[in-house]
Formats: sequence, C-alpha cells, structure tokens
Amino acid sequence: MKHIITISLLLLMAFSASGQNDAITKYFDQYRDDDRFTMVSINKKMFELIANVAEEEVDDEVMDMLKEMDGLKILTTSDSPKQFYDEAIAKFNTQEYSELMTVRDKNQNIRFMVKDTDGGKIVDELLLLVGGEEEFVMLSFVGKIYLNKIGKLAKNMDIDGIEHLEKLDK
Amino acid sequence: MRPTIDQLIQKYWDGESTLAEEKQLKDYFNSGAVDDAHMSLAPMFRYYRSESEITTDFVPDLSFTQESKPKVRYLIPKIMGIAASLLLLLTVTYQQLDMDDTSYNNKYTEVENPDEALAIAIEALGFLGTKYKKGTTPMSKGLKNLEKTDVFNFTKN
Repeated sequence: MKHIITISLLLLMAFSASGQNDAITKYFDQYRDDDRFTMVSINKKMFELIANVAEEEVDDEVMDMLKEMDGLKILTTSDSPKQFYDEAIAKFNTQEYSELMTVRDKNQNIRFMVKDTDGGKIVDELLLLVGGEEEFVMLSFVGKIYLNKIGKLAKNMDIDGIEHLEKLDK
Repeated sequence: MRPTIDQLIQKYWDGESTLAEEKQLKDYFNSGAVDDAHMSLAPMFRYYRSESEITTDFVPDLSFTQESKPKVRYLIPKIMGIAASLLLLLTVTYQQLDMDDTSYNNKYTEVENPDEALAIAIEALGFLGTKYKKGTTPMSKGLKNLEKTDVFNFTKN
C-alpha cells in the first residue's frame, strides 16, 4: 500500500514538473485554431534531424545554437497586433519569466523575456515579443541559449520579419 | 460502645465518615445487637446491606466495542489504498490526455520537413539576433546612435 502512495506521489510531482512551461504552451494552445494567427512549432526531434541534415550549408555559429535548442515556437498575427502584444506582456509578466530587455524602436515594441535556472549567460528559455502597428510576433526558444551568441547572429543575417511563414501558409 | 456508635453516626450524617467507619456502622446495625436508641436507624442500614447483596447473572454484551476497533484499523489502510490507486489512475489518465493533446498539436503546427524546419529556425534566430542587436547596439555606441541602428546593413554570408 505504501508503495502505491509513494508511486502516485512521485507521478504527481513528475506531472507538476512537466507543466513548467505551461504559461507559454497555454498561450499557444489558446490561439491554435484561430485563423488570424500563423503558428509554427519545431520540436526537439526536428532539431536533432536538422543538426544531422544541414551541417555544411549553415554558418557554424548558427549551427552551434541550433544544436543546443530543444524547441521553437512562433506565433504571428497582423490582426490587432498592439492588443495581442499587451495581452502577452501581461500574461508572461510573472515570476517565471524575467525581463531581459525592452526596446522601443519607432512604432515597434520589443521585449525579451528569459527563464533561467542558474542565473548565468545561458538561459533555458528565451521569449521574444514584438508588437508593432502591422504585426505581432512571438518567438519562444527553448533549450540552452547563449545570450552572448545572439548578438553575433545579426552579423550573419539581417532579417526583419519572418517571411518564410508566409510561404508555409500557401 | 454507644458513644463511639453515636460519634460514628454523627460523622456519617455530616458526611465525614471513612469507608471503614461506614462498614463498622453497617456491621453494627446488621449484627442484631443494636442498642434501642439506634433502632430507628437499623432498617435503613439493613436495607443498604440487603440491596448491596443482590447479584445478577446478567453480563452486558460488550463484544461490539472489541470488534469495531480492529474494523476501523483495518479499513483505514484499505481506504488509503483505494484513494492512492484512484490518484494514480487519475494522474496517469490526465497525463495521457495531455500527451494526446500534444500529438494533436503536432498534427497542426509541427514542422515535418527538416529543410523547412531549418529555414524557419535560421530565420527565427536571425530575427531574434536582429531584434537583440537593436536593443544592445545603442547601449554600446551611445544613445545618439539610436536611429543609426535602422540604417545598418548587414549582408548575408
């Protein structure tokens, strides 16, 4: 009998642990079937595949980051982006996530939020929220994310929108 | 003997007599050698004696007090077991449901093609880097350069 109690307690603990990134999952789930949103999710298995497939084509620094990633979720909409940006800010402004930086660039609000367990330069989750007049973009990177490497990424690529998603829609 | 009995009776009425003294009184009144002066009290003490001598074969059935205890003790672990099993079942079911939900997600939002995933991931990282740069460049180059960040032209490798 004691074993059953112990096992169920352990399961319960495991269950509550698995619900750690619930806030973000819930948010994505909320708009999953919403036509106004474009949503993309890449899971850990796919990142492993990527690492095996595209070793040569990709820049080393980018590849290093991709190898350490466990998941990527993208959510975008052009329907009332301001409102969705504010909603997301309110939703993730919790103890779970801490604000890394906020940038106001012309009409665009950019906020970086991170979730890290060891308080170092490596974060477990990086959440990027971009809210402008035309578009709301939410990016969630999960894995080992080296903050010092992110700045260098821009040297290799200049991307100011996620155009590839539009191709996916077709 | 009379003054002693008188004293005992007085103590008895005052409620100060000991059990031994009361037994002495009862023995005296039941002995048959009761002084005339005390005769009026004799029936009372005789009544007490005769009442106390009544016995019965009746034995109350207290078996229920002995049986119920082990019953309760036996039930508690059983109930705990049932509760734990239910909890276990619920947890597993709930987690199963959760997994089902995720696989449902996969159907609609997961990218299945590695090339496509790679393109999206690179784009996402690039987007992230660009936005990150917007936040960090003004800090390193001074606020007067704030507007410059938009003019920077990073070329693709």
